[in-house]
Amino acid sequence: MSESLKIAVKNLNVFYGKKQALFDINLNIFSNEVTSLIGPSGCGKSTLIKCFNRMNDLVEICKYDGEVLIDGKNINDTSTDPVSLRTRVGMVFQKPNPFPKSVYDNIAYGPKLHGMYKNKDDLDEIVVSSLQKAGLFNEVKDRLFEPGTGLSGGQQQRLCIARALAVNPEIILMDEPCSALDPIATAKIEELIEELKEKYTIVIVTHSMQQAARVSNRTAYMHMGELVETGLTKNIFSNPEHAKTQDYITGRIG
Amino acid sequence: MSEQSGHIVSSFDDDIASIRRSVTKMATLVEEQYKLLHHIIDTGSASTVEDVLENEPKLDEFDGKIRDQVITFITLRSPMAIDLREGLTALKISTDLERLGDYCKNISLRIQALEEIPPAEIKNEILRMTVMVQGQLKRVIDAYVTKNKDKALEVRNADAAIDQHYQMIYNQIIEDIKSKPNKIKTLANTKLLFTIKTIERAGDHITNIAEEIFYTVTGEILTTPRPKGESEQ
Repeated sequence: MSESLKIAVKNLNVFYGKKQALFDINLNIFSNEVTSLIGPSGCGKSTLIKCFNRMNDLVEICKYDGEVLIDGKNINDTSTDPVSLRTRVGMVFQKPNPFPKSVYDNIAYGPKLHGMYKNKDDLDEIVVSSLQKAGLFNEVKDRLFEPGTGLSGGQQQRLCIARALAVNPEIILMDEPCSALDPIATAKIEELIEELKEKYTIVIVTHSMQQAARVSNRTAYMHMGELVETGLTKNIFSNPEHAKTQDYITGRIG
Repeated sequence: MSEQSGHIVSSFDDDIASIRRSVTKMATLVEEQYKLLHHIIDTGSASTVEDVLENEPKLDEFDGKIRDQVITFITLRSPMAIDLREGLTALKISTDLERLGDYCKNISLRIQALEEIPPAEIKNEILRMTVMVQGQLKRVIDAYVTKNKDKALEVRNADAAIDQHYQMIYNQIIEDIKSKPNKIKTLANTKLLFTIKTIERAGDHITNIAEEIFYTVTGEILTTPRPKGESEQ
């Protein structure tokens, strides 16, 4: 396991209007690892990962203090361009949300937007390799110009992962990426996560304890806006330090 | 970790309680077997040996039942952390209990087959050693039922006294063999040596159970060496 720090969260407080959503969060996320965020609904998991690519900028009433450092640089500095930040920090959501475009155009959209290719061949190459990396190419190679929304749920989710990969990110955030998928599609995504961590840093929010246990190197448990405990996944699920964590993972609190 | 509250899904608690009940019943039957063993050593009662032999297969049944319960529990509940440890240690404890039962049967048969009644002072010491094992069993069951790691540790630490007692009787029997060498006596004394070694091993299995209880409650595997009272025999 590498131990190189990718994201450092320092004393982060987040407010939506008067309501405080996150309380003094300190968390380290390491390169080429999968980190799971677990905790009951409303505990702040999604709020936290949205801080990693400044998705909360879009929420007017959202205010924060504290720092989120990626590779040692505070992403909330005025010098950080949120759009280029979001190419470095890709995101996959709970419900697959392909654009109402062809499979090809779904993947090509980001590279086109950011001018990340030289010519048509180059763009083709990006589309094919992104689909390959997402383990989807063989299933859609004859349907590249059919609508992405016509794929199955699991395929759509891998299409969204391919779309995130097309702009060459360093970090991939996944917000319950398998909650709408059947066990086979889920297994394919989990296998993909395992492969992707070789090149990317992955943060996954999940409500499935088993999924967190299966896919992640480290797990962070959150409760009511606080980070209760973080550690190696095998320790969190076999012998957590905090009673609250144990109560949650063993199904004793909701 | 403080005392656990119940699961949201209450049948989850029922499953654990049911496994724990089986382990406790099995342990209680082992305790009963050692009570019978004490009587056998004291009186040589053949009918009590029959009782021990009759009870023994019930322990095997418990062992099989607990294995089934734990496999079903793990399959259906996907337990984690302390819940998983409950299941896994129930399996290990039932194996130790089954072994304790085997020992009891073996000793009973060995005592029954003795060529002559052991000298009173040796018999009394063996009885005393058996009482020590009975006490350890009682305390370890109590530690299991109350999920008390301190009581489990006390049991672990107390095994050294059994080891020491074993060593003392061992020396006594060797002296007896040396003092009046004859074939019959030597044969009987050899059986007694095996007997006390088996009782001493019973103590070790109780210590295993104590360590498993400690692990269930704390999640920590004891790494410090067990207190020793035994020499090399």
